[in-house]
Amino acid sequence: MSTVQVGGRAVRTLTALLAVLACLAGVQAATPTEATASIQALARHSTSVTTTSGIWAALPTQLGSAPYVPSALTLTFAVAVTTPRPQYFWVVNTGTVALSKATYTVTETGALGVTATVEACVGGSWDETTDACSGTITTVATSSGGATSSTVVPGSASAQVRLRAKLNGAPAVTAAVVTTSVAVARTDARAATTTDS
Amino acid sequence: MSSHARRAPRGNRRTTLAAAVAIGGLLLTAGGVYAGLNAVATNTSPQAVTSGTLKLTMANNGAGFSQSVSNLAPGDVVNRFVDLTNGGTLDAQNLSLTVADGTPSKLTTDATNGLHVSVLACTTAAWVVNSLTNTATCADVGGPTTVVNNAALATISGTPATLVAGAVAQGATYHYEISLTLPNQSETTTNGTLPSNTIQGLAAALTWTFNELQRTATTTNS
Repeated sequence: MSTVQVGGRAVRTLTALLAVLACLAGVQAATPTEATASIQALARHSTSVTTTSGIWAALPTQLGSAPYVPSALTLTFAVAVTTPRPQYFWVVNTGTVALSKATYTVTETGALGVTATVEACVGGSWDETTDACSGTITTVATSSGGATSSTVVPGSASAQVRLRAKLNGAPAVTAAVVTTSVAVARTDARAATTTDS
Repeated sequence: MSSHARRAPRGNRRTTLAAAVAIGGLLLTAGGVYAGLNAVATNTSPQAVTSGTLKLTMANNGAGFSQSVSNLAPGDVVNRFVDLTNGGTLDAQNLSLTVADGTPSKLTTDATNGLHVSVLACTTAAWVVNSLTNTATCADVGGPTTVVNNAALATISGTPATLVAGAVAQGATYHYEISLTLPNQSETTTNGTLPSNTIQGLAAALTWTFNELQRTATTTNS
């Protein structure tokens, strides 16, 4: 029996010794070889700087004011025995940067043998009652010409230009559908600038 | 067997108690002996000990960061000017710049098409900024020094850009031009509909933070 008791104390002593050694080893492992604490100083502006990117965009529409629908403009010319009168519409700069040009695409579907032309009255304005132009009538794009770059654009943000679409003949059998699309590439917008302030 | 096992611990406790009493008596006696011998030496005037300060201050030169940047088109460059001063009593080291965006977007997360930053240092004097003529000049012979060259803001927001790699002397002032650029890129907007994943019409809320660390700690023997 006494042998058993002595053996129990020895086990407890050995356990305690191992625990102490383990603690010492843990402390040693957790101690960095070199102190790394240091102070730092920060300087920052008290408020954040709002920074925004611009938008270069334009669209054709028959609406005179926002909100506009961002889509191509479709104009229908009903069946007629004579060439129908032109239809007028706006091209609006819906972006935030100035434009110098844009690419127009005009298509005509529905009436065989008929082509469509989109025109601007440069240097004047349209008399939409008489279809007269007080300036110079300038062709922007035609349905036979494919995508066409034109400098007839609303230059500044929110600006508008008045254009018209006309046919070169009568849609005798079926209605003519003229679709006008306006694309603005980065190179159509103002040039890059450098600001020092 | 069990009665022997119970008596043995009682004997041990008595022995332990006796030993504790004996040790206590020895300690009391020893304390009484050494309490009578004591000597003290102090400095006649208090030793002054102060801790240093580390302060970094930023001042706008011109509009600086007080003015928003709006309507950027690809290729645009906007230069802002700030002066940084290590105004504490300690030397510092490793001056760096990081930028955070409170409203992250492609503008600040796209390392290719998003904003880019350059920093130019004018060593001899502050930049001379004239917003009326839209010019800024540096008096350094040979021109300013580029310390950050067209780094993506998306990168700087995660990894600070180093402005001064070594010591930043106490009292030193650094004159910087912070150049913000939207890289050239091609996007076409058709009938008012912006392309997907566009760079257009985005907004960021940029916080520019300059950071310096204290000089290396020293050990003085004197």
